[in-house]
Amino acid sequence: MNKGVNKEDTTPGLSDSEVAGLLAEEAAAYFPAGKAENIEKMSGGASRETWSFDWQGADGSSTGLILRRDPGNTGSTGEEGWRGGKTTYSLDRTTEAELQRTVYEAGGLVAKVHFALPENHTLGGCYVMDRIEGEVLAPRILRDEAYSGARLTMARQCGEILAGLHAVDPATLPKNLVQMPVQPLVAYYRELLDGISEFYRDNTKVGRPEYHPAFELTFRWLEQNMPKDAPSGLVHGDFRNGNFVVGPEGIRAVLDWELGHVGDGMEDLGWLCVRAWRFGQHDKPVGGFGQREDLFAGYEDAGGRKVDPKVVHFWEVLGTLKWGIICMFQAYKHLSGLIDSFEHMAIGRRACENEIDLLKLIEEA
Amino acid sequence: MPQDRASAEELLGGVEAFLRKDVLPQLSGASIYKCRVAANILSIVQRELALGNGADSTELQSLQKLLGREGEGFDTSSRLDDLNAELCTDIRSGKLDEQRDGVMNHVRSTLQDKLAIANPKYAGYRESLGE
Repeated sequence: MNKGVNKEDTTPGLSDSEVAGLLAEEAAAYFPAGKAENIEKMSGGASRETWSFDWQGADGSSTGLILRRDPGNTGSTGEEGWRGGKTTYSLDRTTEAELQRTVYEAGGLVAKVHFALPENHTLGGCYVMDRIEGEVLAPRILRDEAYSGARLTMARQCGEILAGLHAVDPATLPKNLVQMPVQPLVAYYRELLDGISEFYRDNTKVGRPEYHPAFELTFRWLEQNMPKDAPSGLVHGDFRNGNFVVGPEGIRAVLDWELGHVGDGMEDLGWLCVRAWRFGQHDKPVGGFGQREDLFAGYEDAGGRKVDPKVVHFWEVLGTLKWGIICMFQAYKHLSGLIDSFEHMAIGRRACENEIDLLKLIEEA
Repeated sequence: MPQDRASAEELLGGVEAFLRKDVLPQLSGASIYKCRVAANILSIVQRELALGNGADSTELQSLQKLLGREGEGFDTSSRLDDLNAELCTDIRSGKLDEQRDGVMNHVRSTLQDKLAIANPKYAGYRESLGE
């Protein structure tokens, strides 16, 4: 999804050179003698920016680093909510940094966080972490010859990584991590679907709600097939190709912890199997690179609980529904005036792709 | 009174070809992606102009049959809205649980018609057609 278009150009905020200057100052205050060099903006979105830089130590050492920041003081960007409410249970940068630290200390495959700055800082909520070299773009990981070896091992490796992640001691997790077991999560997407539809009925020229009978059939199916007594623990929340740094040998780091929450770990396994992440590699249901059997075996062999494929299927269904409603939400962001992006508008027409997939998924079970 | 030629579809087709053949090769960076999306949007609208009315009336007939409203005639898009609202409410309440197969068949064929407009290349759509 393109995140390049937003209102940054028209709302007050920091210019790129101001960000670079402040970053150099903050890095100098944190790291021992040296200076920040090669400061470069890698991607800018309405709600999140990634910067790359190197810390050149006076002793001759060099450390590759990443700044992840919210462009603060830029007014509403649309990511934070519909009707001004919260659309997402996503974490602020401070909590995300804290979570990433916890996982790092538990031995997880994640970049080391050096320092974080709070929301009210001039730079906006942000943190600095190690830059792990490798490929992030999913289509390249799935197609380039350089990653052919990685692709063979990644399904199993994902299982191993997730087993470790789900075993992180809950007592060590950030205190304000949201509890999102299955029922509130389903209710959350129910509310998002209804809220968008009502907005269209009441506030747009077309003046009618949007109807999605396949989503309704799916909600009904979810109600009737909800897993019971799921153990509760850390869930990454967006564990999929696109959030992995990959080298020829496999996954080097897991990125993007902002949807981290406490819930059923099987959510991560199911989400990884959603069709949207296969990028055309349909014979490889696990992220476009592997088979479910390998994912499950990796998970169990690394100490994860016994995987019930039916429960993972449930989460794949919920994940596909989520993705479909997120497609609606992308169009909503433009149509409600939160952002100005015709590309987002077009994504609304992709909700039905998920609907046709859902019919098959709820029929199979 | 109908408009003169070119038709709406023909006009859009002309602009789409201009974007793909003339504009796109001259672009760089993020504009390439945006230009592709713009051209894709024009092709969606062309398909909608060609297939949209037919799809709507097929959907309405199928809905009337499913909900036992065959006698009620079919004219407007607001009727389609009303019956879809009823369908969604009845699925949600469980009222249509016993008719699940019929509902699934209706929803599937409606979605197929929708995807024939929105994205006929989509793999899940081709699979649902048995390809």
